[in-house]
Amino acid sequence: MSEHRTDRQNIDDFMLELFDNIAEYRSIREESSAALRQAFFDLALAKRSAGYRWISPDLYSANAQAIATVAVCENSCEVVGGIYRRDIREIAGPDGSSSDCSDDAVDSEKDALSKRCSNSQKSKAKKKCKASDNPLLWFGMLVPPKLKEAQGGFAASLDHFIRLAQLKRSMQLKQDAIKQSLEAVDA
Amino acid sequence: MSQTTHKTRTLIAAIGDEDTITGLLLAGIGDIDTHQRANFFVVDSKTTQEQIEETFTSFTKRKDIAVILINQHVAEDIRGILDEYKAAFPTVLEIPSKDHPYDPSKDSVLKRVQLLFGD
Repeated sequence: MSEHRTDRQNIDDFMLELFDNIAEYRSIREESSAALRQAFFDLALAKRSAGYRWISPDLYSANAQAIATVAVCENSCEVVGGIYRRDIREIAGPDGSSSDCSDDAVDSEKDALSKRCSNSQKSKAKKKCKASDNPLLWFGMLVPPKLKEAQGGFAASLDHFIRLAQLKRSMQLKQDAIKQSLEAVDA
Repeated sequence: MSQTTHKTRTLIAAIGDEDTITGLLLAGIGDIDTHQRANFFVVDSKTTQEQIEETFTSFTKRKDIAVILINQHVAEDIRGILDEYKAAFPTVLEIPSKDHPYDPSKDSVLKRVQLLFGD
C-alpha cells in the first residue's frame, strides 16, 4: 500500500514537472518564432540590398569551422548548459601568432586545426582558416547592416532551439517515468 | 552529481531550406570536417526524399553531432523515419522556416504528450 502511495506521489510529481516543461516549451516556441521571423526579414532585406547572388550557398566557406557548439552529458544523455560561442579573436591574430587561451573548447579547436594542417603549411593554413571563422565575412568585407542584424537574430534563435532541445529530452524522460510508474501501480 | 561531458559530440547540424541554412550558418553552426563532410544540408525544390533521408541518417550516425535542427516542412517529408528515430543523441528538433511558420499541431513533441494523455 505504501509502495502504491509512493508510486502515485511519483506520478503526481512527474506530471507537475511535465506540465511545467510543456508550458515553458510553448512559451519558448512563441519567442523563438517571433525572433526567427524578424531574422528572416532582416536576411531578406540584406539579400535585397546586397544582391541575391551575393548571399547564397555558393559563398559558404569550404573550410567552415563551427563557432557555436554545445556540450552533452553522457550520464543523463542530454545537452547541458547553453550555446558555447568560440571567440574568433582567440585564434591566430593578424600576424599569425596565437594568443594564450585556457579554454578547453578553443584548445580543442587548435588541436583539430593542427591535425588538419601539415607542419610546413601550418602558418599559411592558420591565416586561411582565420579568415573564414566569422561566417559574416564569407559574404564580403562590407556586408549590409541588415545581414549583421540577421546574424544576431539567428544567434538568439539558436539559444532558444538548444533550450527547446533540452526541454524535449526532459519531457521524454518524464513521460517514460510516468509510464513506468503507472505500470507499477497497475501491477 | 558529477557530469561527464562528451567532448567530441559538440556540433549542431541543420537540414532546411536555403534561408534557414544561411541564417544558421551566420549564427556559427557550420562545420566541414577533415573528410569534407558538412554538418548542414540545403533542401530545395530539386531535392528528393531519398536524399533528405540519406542525409538525416548520416547525421544520426555521426559521433560529433549533438543536435539536428530540421525545418518542420522538411520533417514532414521524412515523417516515417523521424518517428522511428528514438536515440537520445543526436537530439532532433523541428524548427520553422521563412515560408512555413511553426505549426503546433504538427509538433512531434506535443503529439507525444497528447498520446500519453490518450488524446
